[in-house]
Amino acid sequence: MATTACFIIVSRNEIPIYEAEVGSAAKREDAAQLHQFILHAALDIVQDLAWTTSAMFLKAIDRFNDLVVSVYVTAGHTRFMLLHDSRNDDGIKSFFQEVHELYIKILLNPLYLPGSRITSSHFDTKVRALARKYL
Amino acid sequence: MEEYPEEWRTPPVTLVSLVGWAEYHHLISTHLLSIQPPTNTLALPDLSKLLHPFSQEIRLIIRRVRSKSRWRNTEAGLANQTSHQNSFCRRRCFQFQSGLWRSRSAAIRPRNVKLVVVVVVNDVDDVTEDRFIALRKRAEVDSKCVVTFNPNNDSELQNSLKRLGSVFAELAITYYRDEGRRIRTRVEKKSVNAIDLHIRYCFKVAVYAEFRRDWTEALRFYEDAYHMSREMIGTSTRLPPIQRLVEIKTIAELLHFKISTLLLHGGKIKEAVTWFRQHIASYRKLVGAPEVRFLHWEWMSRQYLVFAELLETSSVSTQSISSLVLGTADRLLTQLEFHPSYYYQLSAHFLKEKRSSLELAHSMSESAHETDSSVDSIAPSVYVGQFARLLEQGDALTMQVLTDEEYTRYAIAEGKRFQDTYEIVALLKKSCESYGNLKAQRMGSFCGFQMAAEYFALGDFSNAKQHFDGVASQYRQEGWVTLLWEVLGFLRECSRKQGAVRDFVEYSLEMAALPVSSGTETQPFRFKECGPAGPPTLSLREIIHKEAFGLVSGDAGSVSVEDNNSIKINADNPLHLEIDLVSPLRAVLLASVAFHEQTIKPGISTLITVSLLSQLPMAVEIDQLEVQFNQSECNFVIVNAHRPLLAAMNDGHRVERTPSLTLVTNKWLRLTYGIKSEQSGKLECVSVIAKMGPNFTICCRAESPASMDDLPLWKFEDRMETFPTKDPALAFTSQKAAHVEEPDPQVDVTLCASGPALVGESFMVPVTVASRGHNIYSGELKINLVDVRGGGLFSPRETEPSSMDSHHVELLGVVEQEGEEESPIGSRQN
Repeated sequence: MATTACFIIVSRNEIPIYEAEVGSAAKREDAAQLHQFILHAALDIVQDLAWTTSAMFLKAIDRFNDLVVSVYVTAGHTRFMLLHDSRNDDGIKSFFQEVHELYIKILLNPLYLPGSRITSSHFDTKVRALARKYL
Repeated sequence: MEEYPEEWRTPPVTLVSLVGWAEYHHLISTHLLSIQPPTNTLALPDLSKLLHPFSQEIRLIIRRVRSKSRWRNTEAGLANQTSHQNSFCRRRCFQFQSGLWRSRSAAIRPRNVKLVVVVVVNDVDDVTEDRFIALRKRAEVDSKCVVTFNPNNDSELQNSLKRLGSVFAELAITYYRDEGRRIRTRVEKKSVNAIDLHIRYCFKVAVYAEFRRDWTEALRFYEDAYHMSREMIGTSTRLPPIQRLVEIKTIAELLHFKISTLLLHGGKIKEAVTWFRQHIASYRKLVGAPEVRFLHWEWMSRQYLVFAELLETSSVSTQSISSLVLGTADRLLTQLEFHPSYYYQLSAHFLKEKRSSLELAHSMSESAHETDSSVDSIAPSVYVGQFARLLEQGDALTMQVLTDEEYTRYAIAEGKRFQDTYEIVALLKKSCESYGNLKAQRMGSFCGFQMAAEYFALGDFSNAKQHFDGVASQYRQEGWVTLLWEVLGFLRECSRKQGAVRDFVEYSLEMAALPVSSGTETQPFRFKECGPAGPPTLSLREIIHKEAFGLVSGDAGSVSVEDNNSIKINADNPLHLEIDLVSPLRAVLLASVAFHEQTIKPGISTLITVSLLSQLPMAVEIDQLEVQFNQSECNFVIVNAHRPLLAAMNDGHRVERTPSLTLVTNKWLRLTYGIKSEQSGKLECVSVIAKMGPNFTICCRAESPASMDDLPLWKFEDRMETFPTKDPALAFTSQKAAHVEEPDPQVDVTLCASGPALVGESFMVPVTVASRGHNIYSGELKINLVDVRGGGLFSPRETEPSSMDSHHVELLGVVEQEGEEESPIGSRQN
């Protein structure tokens, strides 16, 4: 499992709707606060790249020092962003795909307003389990 | 490229030394510099200088120039670039003692230095062929190396200069080819066992190849040298470990610089970026000893900075970059890695690392060695990346190798001399501007945040605040609450330090009303080292809330700030906040005003609901609310029955009392009252002013429930949504304004006929119009005259229009009586 992995779901209107630190170890203190800043900054690249490819998994789109940002864009333009230090591309892809399925299940919930914060604890538990499995 | 020292330049410039005839040096130097490829000249006006061994002279001069430059520890073996020696002689030179020639030749020949003898003549015919031959023999040079120089005639002078230039260029090529070949043979034979000597040879061959503009060979040998230097790390034991690593890194840096430059100038940007990544990857883990860790971060920072500058000056256009990135099938490189801004940003990041490591190292060394004067005599050695102690022994200076402890002390003392913070700010500013040009606003915001944090650390709060404000608006707009919290925390501290009470309260309230809740199972981010606000949690929101309200209510007295200054709110310094439709403080207090009816009759009471909503984490008690309309006579005040009436706001308006004016988090406080207006037209609620405590008011623009925007940050939060009015239908339709109708007109019309008249008689009919009730400013009066033809009941409709011809009616005048209007009409009947 990756030592650092910060996962975030950004809705189509640029708002983070789910965020989780899924790394196995506590990262160095001074770097911890950077995670969200780096992910937010990487949205600039995603918005350019997302329209140049039909693939959902955009792979590594940004690097900050030894941290890499991988992105997966759903058809509804919701972005799954993962900040990680591992190089396991296949694992990350599988992680994204399975989270996508979970996300679709959330969307199917008639009480869920698309674009609003995901507060389901079930979703959270599942995402963390997937992170342990694939990252 | 210009700002780098001479020895870093690509391609290097040939060096020629001029000796004697100082009056022509300037002329020749200018000419040699202007031709392509240019040639540098080192002018030695005095022939006696030649008595010293030539190369040493040059080396000393080069060292003097270099020691002024910033990159002084990158001294490369350039002394050997001295290729030609050019002696000015006239006929007098024959008088030189042959011993002088010999000693000079002895200094020159082993180094394969080329010699050109220039004979300054007034007339070519002056010098005979015999004399040339004699001169050539004595100087032991080829015939092409004896050049005549005629300064008297313009065209001759130009020819002479051209001749000189071409001879030098030709000799330079020969010299560097010979030298390069000589050393390359050594490298290829692998006759050298010492790896450091091997690196030196590779470097030399590459530099000589650069002189010849043979880029492929130069690149190959630089790369060879680079790879070998990487291998040396584990093997070399020549120097103590710390200094060894410093030396290897310095050499790697120089080689990397050369390689990157060659790649970028060749337009191979992708290769250059890949190379840079490999370079960083192979050295990033070589941190070295803990006490000199800062040297590593400084080195890393410099790598990024230099590469950024190289990338910026290279001519690759942005269009080709995007095609480059897209062209890469597996996209190993990210788009940003082709832009200098990325490297500037990381350079600043590593410089920050360096600063913190240096502070640590400094504090450690301070406790160990209180004072140390020995560092003064330490200087960069003649060898690249090495340092030595200069010892004076009589007139001579000798260099002594340092121990690692001495070097560490020296490095820490050196490190302290630089103001890293300013450097970091400058780098971030460059990066920020560069991202702005790329239209990467979010990247720019990140840089802006880091820059502002640096200003904050420096104590430059006005600059910090300016940058933080820009960043905060970006995060506010996109709803990144955690980041906004962080930025607002800094802003709050800035205003506290500046003593800006309004800003302090505004930022505090905004923070307290942010949708941050740590009660959820998803633990957001572990902020071990966060801004002054601390991690975003509900409990901190409550603390900030209490602090802000303690300040405004005057309970807490004041919030202390530095310099014995304090911000406080009292009768002399009241605080009045305005919240409009776009203010970030809407979440703090949102006022919605709904008229229950859209059109109202004047003087008739209708219902109005004033609803207030707050997302502050704790309940807020309001002392009184003033509801203001565009018709000021309708304004009214709602007073909290538990609080004493505050006289200031109660200037003759209607006062309503309510048992409680407590605003609970995310729950509408609905207040419904009757209202009536006497004046027709639009009646609109403008604002609702909430007074909390004697010196604090918040003026909130009234909003219509039907067209009210959601709270931007709370829109997608998981919260209970309720309507501002009790009746949901009203919430969708009602407005903050209503139309007051015109009152129904009430008029008395009196016709006073004096009695029957004769046919053909002219008579007056006074008509009196009098209003009963309100004033009437306009109206229409229509009088129908009917010929009844002999009496009886009849309808006016039955009259024929022609029958009216026999009447003549004339308005005699309009008279106003006692403020009332009267219009007597004269009527003449024919």
